[in-house]
Parts: sequence; structure tokens; C-alpha cells
Amino acid sequence: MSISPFPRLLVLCGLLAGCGPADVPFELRFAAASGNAPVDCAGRLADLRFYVTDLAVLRPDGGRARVDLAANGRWQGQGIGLIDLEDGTGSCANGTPDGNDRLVGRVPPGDVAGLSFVIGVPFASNHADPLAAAAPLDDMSMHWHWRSGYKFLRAAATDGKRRVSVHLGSAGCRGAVTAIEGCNFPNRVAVTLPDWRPGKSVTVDLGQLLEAVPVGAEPVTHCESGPADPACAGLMPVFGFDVASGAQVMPQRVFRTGP
Amino acid sequence: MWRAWGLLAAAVVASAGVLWWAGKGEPAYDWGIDARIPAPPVPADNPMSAAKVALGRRLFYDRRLSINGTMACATCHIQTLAFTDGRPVSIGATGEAHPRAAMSLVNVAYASRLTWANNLLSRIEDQALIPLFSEHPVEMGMNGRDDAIAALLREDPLYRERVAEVFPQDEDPYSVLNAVNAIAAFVRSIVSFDSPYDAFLRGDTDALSPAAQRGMALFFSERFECFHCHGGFNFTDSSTHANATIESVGFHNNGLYNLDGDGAYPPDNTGLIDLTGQRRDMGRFKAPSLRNVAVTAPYMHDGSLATLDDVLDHYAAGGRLLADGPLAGDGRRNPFKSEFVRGFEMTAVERADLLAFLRSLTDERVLTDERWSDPF
Repeated sequence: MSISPFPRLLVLCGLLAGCGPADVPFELRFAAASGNAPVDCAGRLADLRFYVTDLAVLRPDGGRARVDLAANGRWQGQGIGLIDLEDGTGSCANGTPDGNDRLVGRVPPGDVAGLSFVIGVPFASNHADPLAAAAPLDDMSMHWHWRSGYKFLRAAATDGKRRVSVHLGSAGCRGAVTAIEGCNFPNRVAVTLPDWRPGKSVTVDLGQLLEAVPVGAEPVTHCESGPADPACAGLMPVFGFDVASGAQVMPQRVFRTGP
Repeated sequence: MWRAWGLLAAAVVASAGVLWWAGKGEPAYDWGIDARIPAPPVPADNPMSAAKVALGRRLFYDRRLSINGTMACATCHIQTLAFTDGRPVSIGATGEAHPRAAMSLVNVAYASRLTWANNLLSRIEDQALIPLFSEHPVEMGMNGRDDAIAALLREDPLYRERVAEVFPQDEDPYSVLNAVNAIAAFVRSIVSFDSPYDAFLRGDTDALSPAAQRGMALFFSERFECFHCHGGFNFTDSSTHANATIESVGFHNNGLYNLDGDGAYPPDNTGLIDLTGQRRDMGRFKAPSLRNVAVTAPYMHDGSLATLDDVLDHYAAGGRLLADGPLAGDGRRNPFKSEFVRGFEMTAVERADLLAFLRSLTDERVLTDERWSDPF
């Protein structure tokens, strides 16, 4: 394979913020719902915060164009974005007043045939010292000290009949803190939305999680990504995971293209 | 990034100051232990100093490090109880019961892994984040309140001065990181090798009664098997020290439960399997240090054995049969049970001798020493 200087320069530009003068602004909004009905802290929502990484638009030819998420000191940095759709009021009792419903960045121009991203924090950053981390990984509410990594997603909601609470993050990790060697259950959720187009939002459908919980089972079904936790058995498949192996074997059902 | 530059700057300053430091002859941290005993390991990025330990002592006892000002680290780690709390399970600031009992902090500096069942946690700096910030259950309840911790350091006149003295290299030393580093240094400083047993090892043959000496022989015998999990200088197989060349880590199922006949432990307290997801780790917990064990009742990860007599009965039976109730099951037949929990016959005299030995592991000094007492 021959590599001319010109394409190499393009590749380099793709990795650097604001270096492609032709890049166009990109904005992606997220909204919480249960089925088709919006949910908020006035009753149905209790918590919804998650990390997005590896954000890219899909091209008609099957290629991907990485979205460059500019660091802003709070919600975006290191190619990772933090979405926070709760405001600490009402039913979101243990939340935080500030929030962030969108990711902003730049992307190379071109036809768009979908969107893809990962819910999670890349491995190298996931197991570093959270007290020394830069935004958006400096949010202690998102760190999971006993599992030695971040909560990629924390979601809690009710539909009046049942309550569900999920903390998703890597489990079954090996090694020791500051030197984690790997995790048997990485639990990063790959999301692909072929019907997404510029201007569309992403709906986070917590109804999918609620429907996976039997009515009247217990006051709250709380899953902490425990690979052997019965509370997680019905919930992990909603993210596409095979419970036994931890592999994502089917499409997730929580994130879908919104209005 | 700024942190990296700060470290670089600190390194430059430090290398310029090496000669000056050498000239000052700054003493190494004094652990206050017999020179023949190895020091505990200390993370390179959180060196010990007397000033840091003093700062950490104050923070350890400070109730302002909880959501409602009701709870300090010391609430569940009471010095006179060898830094346990005397409860079967601990209660958090908001009243939630933890599924597990508070562990002793004496010699926790030598623990190769921390908490009851975690194969990842090896530094007190990391462990300390759990009680401060955990949500399930809430312990001190500071989740989402990092700013309040930094503000406490910045605004309390005493902390404001001491934190700047202890962390002079930091541009802004008023951080959760420094609070945690100081608390960890204080906890690491709680080392004890002054029990009657230690005096006996140093050559004072009168330090142990004849009964305790007989109990010691039983404790270290293949018949009773105690030492396999509770062996070594700290009476736990999950021990390390500054000169250790291999890392010892152990987790054991001791047959307390067997809910379903297939080895299940109560769902809120399954042990190492919670971390690893591997079936073989069901009911596996760390063997705690037995130092000061006479003052750390009740026993086991969930405080389900009230007295040392109950503990001896448990191991004599090779596990626990719970005939009825929601936790009923024959723990003696737990398929994941340690091979060392086989049961034994024990005469009344042997029981008394073993108890006498276990009581000889209490270091009265560590329970009262002012260095680790409440400064408020």
C-alpha cells in the first residue's frame, strides 16, 4: 500500500480540532422518553446521565466520518461527551441541578446515511484515577469506585407500575486499580441508527427498560451490571448484551432516532 | 494537562532542592513500629508525613464530610473497637443499612486488597472514595457534592492553612484528591504490633498465659486449619508489605449460607462473584485480620455470628446449618466452600485455649493511643 503525503495530511486533520476549514458544525440533541411519551423529573424520570464516545456520521458508501467534539471544560473533552437529562428536581431527587442535552462539534461535509456512537468511556480512560481526570471524566457522580471504572450510563424511571434503575459499566475486571488488565464484561453499548439525518435528535427510550421488568417484582429492580445479578438478567439484553458472555450480540433498543 | 505541568515544575524544583533537603536531613516517616517489622507499602504519589497524617486525622473525625453532618469516617470506625463499629452491619448517614459490617482499620496498610470482597482495590486512596460517594447504599452521601468537600478545605480556617502546608506543590490544593490523600495517610498510619502475642514473639515468654500458648499451637495446627486463611504477621492471607516480592490475595467461602443447595448466598451479599461474575466466586470473602479480634464483634462480613464462641462453633461444624427462615440452607454443604473449612472436634479446654490465644491478639495501645484519637 502506498501512502502519499496528501491523504496522510487529511487523516491528521481528521484528528485535530478545527483543522479542516471545510468541516461543518454538528449538533446532536438527546431527549428522554418512555415509548413515545417524553419523561422528565416531574414524575416518570429519576435519573438519566451517560457518556457518548466514538461519535460518527455514516456515509452512503458505508464509510464513517468522525465527529470532532470540541472540549468545553465540562461536558465534552477527550473525544467523550456527557449527557445529563435530569435536573435534580422532583422525582430526580439525587441528581444535579446542571444538565446537558446535546453534543456539539464539527464534521467533514458529505452525504449522511445514519449515525453511530458508543455509550461508554474508552478503556484507557475508564480505569485511570478519577480524581486526576479532566472533564467530562471529573464528575464523581459518574465514577464507580468499587468497580474501578465509570458508570457509562445511569438511568432510573418508573411507569407507575414498576421502577427500574440501571448503572451500566465494565464488570468482571482483572488486575488492580491503576493497573486494570482487562474486563470480561466491558459493557460498552454500540449504537447504530441508519435512519438518522442531520437535524434529527436521539430519543432515549426508558420504556424499553421498564418493559423488561416484571410488574410487581420488587419495589425497584436495580441492576449494577453484575454479571451474575438476577436483576440484570432481563435488562442487559435491552442493550444488546448476551447475559452469559457479555458480548453485544444484537442491536440495542434504548437509543433510537428522534424527531 | 495543568497537573502534568505542575508535576514537571515540581520535579524541577525538587531536583534543585535535593542538596538542600539532604542538608536538612529530613527524617523518614516514623511508623512507630519495631525495626524488624517491614513498613507497609506507600503509593509513590502519596508519601507519608507527620503533617499529612495529622491533617488526615482531623478529616477522618470530621462529620462535615457527610451529606447531613451526622457522620464521619470515625462513625463506623471507632478506635476503642479497633476501628469497627460494633454493629452487625453499618448504618449510613441517611439511615440506610449497608449489607456488610465495618472492617477494622488496624494494619489495613498491610492489606493487599481492601473491603470484604473486591479483587481490584489495593490502595486506601481508592477505597476511601466508596464510603464518601457510594449510592447503593448511601454511606456518607457525598455523591455529587465534590464541591462541598473542596469548599470545606478552602473555607475552614484550620484546613485552609494545613492543606496548603501539606500540599505546597499544588496550585489549588483544596481538592477532593488531597482530602482523600490525607485521610488515606492517616488510615495507613494505624499500625499495631504491640499485643501480648507480639511481646511473646519478641522474647517475653511471660506475655502469653499457658492457656494462650496452648491455643497458639492449636491455631497453627493442621487439625484446626485456622492459619491457612488467617496466617502471617497480620493474621490474614491477603497481606503485603513494602519489601514483599509476591502479592498474596485470598478470598474464601466459609460455608455460612447455601440458599438453593447450589451454593447461593443472600442476593445482596454474594461476595466476590459480584465483581467477577464467575460462579466459583459465590460466597467468597476476604479473611479479615484477626488482630484485636476480641473487640471487633460481631463477626463475619454480615455480622451474623455474635461472639468468638459462635465463630469457633461455626468452624467446628464446618459451616452453618440454618434450619428455617428466608436464609435457610446447609452452608456445610456449600459446593464453593473452602477446603480448609472441614470441621473439627474440640474439647472444652481446647476451646478455652483458642479463645485465650485470640484474646492475646489485642493491642491495648492502638485502642487508646492519642495519635489516632478524635481531635475535635
